[in-house]
Amino acid sequence: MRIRALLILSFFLCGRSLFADLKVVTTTEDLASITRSIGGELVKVTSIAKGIQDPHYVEAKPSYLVGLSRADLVVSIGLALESGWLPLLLRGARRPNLLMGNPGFLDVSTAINPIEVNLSADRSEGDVHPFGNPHYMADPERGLLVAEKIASRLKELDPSNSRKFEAQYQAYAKGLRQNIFQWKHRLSKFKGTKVIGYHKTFNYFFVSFDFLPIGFIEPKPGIPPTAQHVLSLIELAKKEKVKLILMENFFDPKPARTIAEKTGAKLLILPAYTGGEEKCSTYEAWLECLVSALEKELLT
Amino acid sequence: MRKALVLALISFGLNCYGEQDRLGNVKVFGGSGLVDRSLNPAISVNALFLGSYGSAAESVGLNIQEVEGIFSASIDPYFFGMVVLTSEGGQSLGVEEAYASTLSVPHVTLKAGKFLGNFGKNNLLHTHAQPLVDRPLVNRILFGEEALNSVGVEADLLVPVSWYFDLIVAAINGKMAGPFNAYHDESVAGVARMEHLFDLSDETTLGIGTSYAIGENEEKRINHYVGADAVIKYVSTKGRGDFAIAWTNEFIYGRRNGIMTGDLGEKSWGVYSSVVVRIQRRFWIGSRFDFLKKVDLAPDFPRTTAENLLVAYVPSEFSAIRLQGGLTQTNAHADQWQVLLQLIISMGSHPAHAY
Repeated sequence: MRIRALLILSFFLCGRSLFADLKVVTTTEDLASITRSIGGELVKVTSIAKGIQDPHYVEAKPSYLVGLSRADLVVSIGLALESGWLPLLLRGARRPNLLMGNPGFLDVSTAINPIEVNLSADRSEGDVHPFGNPHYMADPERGLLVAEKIASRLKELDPSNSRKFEAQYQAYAKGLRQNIFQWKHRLSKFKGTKVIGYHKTFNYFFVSFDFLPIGFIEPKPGIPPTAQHVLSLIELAKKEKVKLILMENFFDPKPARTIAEKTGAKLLILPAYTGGEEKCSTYEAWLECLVSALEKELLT
Repeated sequence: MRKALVLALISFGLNCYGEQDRLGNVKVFGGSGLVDRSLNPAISVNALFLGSYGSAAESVGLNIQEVEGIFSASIDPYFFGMVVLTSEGGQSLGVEEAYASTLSVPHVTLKAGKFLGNFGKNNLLHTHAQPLVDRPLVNRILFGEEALNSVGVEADLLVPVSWYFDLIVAAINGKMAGPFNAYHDESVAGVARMEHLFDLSDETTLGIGTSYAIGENEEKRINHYVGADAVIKYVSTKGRGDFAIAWTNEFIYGRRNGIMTGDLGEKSWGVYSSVVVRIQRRFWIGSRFDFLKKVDLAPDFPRTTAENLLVAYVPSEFSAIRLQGGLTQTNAHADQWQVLLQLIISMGSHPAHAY
């Protein structure tokens, strides 16, 4: 009787980890969506940052430690996107396997080739990322490389289900490749379109789909726009005949609206991450949201 | 072309060399620049300047409030290290914290060195992280300007339940300025804390905690401190969390046993309640109410209340200008008012603040 009671108690205290599948915590919803697609029912995935949230500025809530202290794997965007909060959470989780360099920690930026690397950056340039722009999930081709990396790590952590992970990854990658082909085809007629962005969130998307960003509403990354900067962008937009302003759905749209009104450019406000809108709840759905919104706006 | 430029920059600017793999990733090898620097501790320097004006003559002036150097890094796979050097008023340099904590022990963090005692909410905060310009009255009077801070060992257990439940116990050197100031050099003081945090929603949390500290005083008797705190915090999860509210309440009771008072002790207790609101990305407002009663440890303030209001302009995470006005009333002196203007600058790789 006493042994039975002890077993029941240890079951609850261990958070049932002995009986569950792989528990994965991702820093963003993009990574959570891909991990769910590859892991299927063999993984339980939660994301720390929500899709409507700017992942630079997540609060390191102690309640995140509850999930992290039981996680088998943490998947991170890297390139210092989460440097303001993730190291604190990983140390606080008191789970050595999740610390950098251990199998339970995966920085997927090691799978991709970053843009905007500026190793000599300093803070006078704003909230810069010396090792490259961390918003690479907006490029679906880099998303494919990330998916491969995640699949590989899931197979390492749970070799008994390696074949299932591989099959689910292959199916996912095939679907994403087909989508990429279609998205590229649909946006090919808008190649070279000049755009103004807000933050550098969509720069990988612009590179991947051959849009041409000529300015940003933030004068420097993370620095709110001034009236003078907005005026200079109006001049630039008129001179360069900019037809489109593309901004994230969590920033103040007033400066962008002013530029649009003064120049006749169209303003498109879009979710910056997976889950940023209800209909964009998976990684592929989010990219479809971006492509279809651009297609619709530029065709009219 | 861009990749070639990056490789060239890495090679020449940082005294190491780079290569591209088949996916176009830049890999960096060798050299004494980037590699050496990446193994350096994260270093940050905070400087706080304070202008004050008020009804008390000693409270008027322009001063360096504090300069603080923070160094932190993983020491090896087993330990994380943190050193905080401070110079109050720009005078002599002191060690505020210097400790190592474990990285490789599951469920529990063990800490050894000099550190701020885990008692209540405010005692853990460095000067630059205080919600208002000055520390709450109850902390200042009961624990002194140096706070509850000493050399010792601490164990911090994350209890494996479905909510955040933290248990902390510490044994520290009892010979410290402030709460204990033990007579015997070998005296050991104890600090214990229990903290819970509940997510009321994605944006709102309720944190409650209780603390206890015990140690010898300079009269070879025992001092006891009991604390209770509750914090409700709301941080918008939209975008950069530009709207946030933190309502913090903390109660501390202290009993100082002395030769004259015997074990009945001299009792003091105090409470503060502060609200800080981020109304826009760059603007904060705040207020704090302090109450302190029968403060035998500081006979100048037998019964004191204080109200403070704060307005802050925060251009970035690395700078802030804060203006605070306050009125202090006691039953022993005339009312005192004070205006404080503070500039905080932070340089380098500042580590994240705890929630």
